[in-house]
Amino acid sequence: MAVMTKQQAKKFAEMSDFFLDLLNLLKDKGVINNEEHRVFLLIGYEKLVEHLEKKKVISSKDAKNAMKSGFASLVYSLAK
Amino acid sequence: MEKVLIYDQEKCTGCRSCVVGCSLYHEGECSKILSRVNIVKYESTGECYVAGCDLCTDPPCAAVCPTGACAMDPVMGIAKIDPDVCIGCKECMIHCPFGAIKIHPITRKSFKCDLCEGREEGPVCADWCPGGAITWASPELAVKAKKREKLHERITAATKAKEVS
Amino acid sequence: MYGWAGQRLRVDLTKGDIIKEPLSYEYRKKWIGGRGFNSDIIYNEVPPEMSPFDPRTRVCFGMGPLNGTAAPSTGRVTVSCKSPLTGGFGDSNMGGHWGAEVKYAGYDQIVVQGKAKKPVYIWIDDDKVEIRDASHIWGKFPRDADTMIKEELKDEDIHIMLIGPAGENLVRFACTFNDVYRAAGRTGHGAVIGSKNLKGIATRGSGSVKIAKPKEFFEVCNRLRQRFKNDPMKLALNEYGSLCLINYANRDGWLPWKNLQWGGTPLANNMSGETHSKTVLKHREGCYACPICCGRFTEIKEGRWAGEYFGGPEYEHSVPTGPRVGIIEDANDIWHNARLTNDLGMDGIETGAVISTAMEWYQRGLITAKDTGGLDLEWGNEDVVDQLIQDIAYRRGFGDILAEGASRACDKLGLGDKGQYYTIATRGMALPGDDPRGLGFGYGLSFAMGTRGGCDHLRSLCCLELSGALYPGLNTKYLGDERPAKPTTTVGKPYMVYYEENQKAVVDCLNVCCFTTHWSYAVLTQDQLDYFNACTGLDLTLEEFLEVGERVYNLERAYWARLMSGAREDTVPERFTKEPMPQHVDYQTNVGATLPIGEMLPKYYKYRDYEPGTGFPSERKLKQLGLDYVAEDLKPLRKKYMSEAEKKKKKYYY
Repeated sequence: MAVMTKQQAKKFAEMSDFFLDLLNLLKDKGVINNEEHRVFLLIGYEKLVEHLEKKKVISSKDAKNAMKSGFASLVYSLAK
Repeated sequence: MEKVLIYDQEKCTGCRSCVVGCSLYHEGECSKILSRVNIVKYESTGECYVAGCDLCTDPPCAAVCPTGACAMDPVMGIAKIDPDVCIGCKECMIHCPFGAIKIHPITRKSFKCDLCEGREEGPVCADWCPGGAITWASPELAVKAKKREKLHERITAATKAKEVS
Repeated sequence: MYGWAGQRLRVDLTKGDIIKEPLSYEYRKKWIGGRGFNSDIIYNEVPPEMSPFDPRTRVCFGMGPLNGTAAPSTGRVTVSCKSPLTGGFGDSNMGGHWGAEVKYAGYDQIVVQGKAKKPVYIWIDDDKVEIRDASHIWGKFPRDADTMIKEELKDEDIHIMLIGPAGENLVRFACTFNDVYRAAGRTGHGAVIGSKNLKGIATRGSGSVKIAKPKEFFEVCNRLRQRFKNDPMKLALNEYGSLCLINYANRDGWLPWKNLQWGGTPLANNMSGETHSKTVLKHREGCYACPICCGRFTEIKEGRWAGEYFGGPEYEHSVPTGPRVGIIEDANDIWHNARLTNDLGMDGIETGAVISTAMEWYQRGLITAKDTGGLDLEWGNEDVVDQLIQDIAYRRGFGDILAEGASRACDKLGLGDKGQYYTIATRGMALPGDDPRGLGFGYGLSFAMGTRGGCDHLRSLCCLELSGALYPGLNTKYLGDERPAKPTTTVGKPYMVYYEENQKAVVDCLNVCCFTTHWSYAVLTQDQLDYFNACTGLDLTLEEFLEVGERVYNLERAYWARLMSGAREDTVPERFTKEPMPQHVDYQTNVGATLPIGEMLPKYYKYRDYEPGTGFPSERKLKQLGLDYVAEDLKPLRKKYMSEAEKKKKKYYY
């Protein structure tokens, strides 16, 4: 599932501190709701990746790469 | 070579990991009074030692037991107490030279170490001891290792003395 | 009841009352224990305008559901009060075995209020609680009082919480011990305890902590203890103690030299863990149920201090009365000074900080021998440091001024803002031995934001940027990025500090040792949830668990807000932003560094949902955390904080 453009992904990948902005974007796009936004802010990146894989927002392969290479890989797999 | 519990008192840090692990494993609760191994410590000087069953081959605890409740288990290599037969006379507790036998706070009968019989990894105390004060090892190999450790200490001290002079 | 004992012990020393208060399921689920229980009591029962030495004030000793169990390192106790040093919220944490003993006696928390007419100590013998005369042990060092109480009560196996002479003399940074040398160092609760004429609390506990799912709990504890066997931090800490950090601190330029004018010294190895273990190490020691055992016992063998012995020292304890005051040539001087602060019962960090501040004032001519009563405050002068430590504890001469802490001493000497620059403090609390220009920018950010003063390495303990490098992939796991593992980068630090602060707060509620969760990462957040649920029988989710940490943190932040401390006070000592780190050691890695706090603070505010103007927790966040009453308290205060009158007041302490 694509929630941002490749340009947006590039901008994200260059961010110094990205997590809150990513959660805000996912909430705006309806991928996560208010409660989930609060939860993932607390419990961290790995749980967010697991959730996105479970909801089929990203593939298992993307999830694996997201854990191996970090958020730069994740944002590109969320882009079209 | 059968394994036994070896206590290297110099290495005891008094952390009581052995105590709380023993109590949890055997009784399902965490305490000091329910543990079969004990730590004796002087806080102001830091001296401490482990008081656990020393696996006597001719145990005084079994010798003084009037009912046979405390008896040597030749397979495990340790004296064990059968709580169903124990009458709570405390003779074993008084006669143990190492303070390794205690009275259960509720049943008022004696209880002691049983080497965590049935646990594949061996006794919990030795498994969990972070400093190597309690180990589960063959005594012959343990003594060899200790001798080499002492030799290494002497070599290091001699080298240091040479450096300083 | 599983995990918890289920009750709080309240002792009123004015009336001589012993009250036992049950703790409901909802309360335990909301606050968990330890720091959580304490912060709730302090917020509700110690109002902002109350003097820290008012007899009505409270001092709390908090234990958690895991204390006294077989989880890794469950001996810790949180001690909380309104701090005499900062005037704000204060707490600290001590190891040892007393916390487990109190749980076995049947209490989750002890709250002391009131003031005894003459010196007393409390004797807790399971459910029997007595207040006993302490006139014969008043004035004694903790090691002697410990021996005397054990003789009097005819039991060598009891565990005792004690203060030293400094606490009795109301030194503003006096500390508390248990088992003689295990210190709860910071924020001066030793003085609050002393102001109540309380010498200590002796405890004998013959009960147990019940476990909801014993087999599962054993399985988790066992799995974690196996992990510790080869853990890199455990091996370093066990072998060399917390002094294992000295050479790393020196290389990366965070070892304070001469009041943090420099970040290292060529002779640092004199006091490293490696050297310590070859020269003066008598014995290794461990707190309750600990798989690491970083404790040391030291015996000085040569020189003028030969024959002295004591438990310790730690890195943070010995650096301030060592390199920070310019002493490094003879390590025995450093061990002796650490022994002194232990026996006298004072925070080693504040003691060294206030002396090194005075030395820099002296160096720069802001004070002279006239102010110091003739003492020559030359860097590295051990005779003067030895004398001053004792003068501070007994409030003699110049020591009486220094016993007020650096920020107040500055005012007493009339040195103004210029003098305050050299106190290296935030909100009245001085920096420990961790220069953020080298230790890390995450730490630097947390120094501005800490809720027990500023300058505090233990509110975030964001070791993801320190020992995180030893655990490849760990930063990515929590933060999504491996780059924050580098200390001197701002990348990812706002989220790192937010995550670590919440996590550390939960660890303090459980009251397990943060060396198992934040130095060593052998125990991950999920592991803590596993052993918590198995022990207590609760079934918390990961977010409910971490939310407790966020709740406690915001409550403490609100405590400061009520004192009119907020965004304007979220600063770090200006030395870190204005002075690029100079070189003092050949291989130093952070030459030229300053702390770019401005790049990280605004983003951190967003994570915390603090209001930009006041820095207060937002109403939305407080309500989310079930802190509606706190939101009500802060409503009328926002306008006041933003008023011109408040903006003009420059406060260094409250």
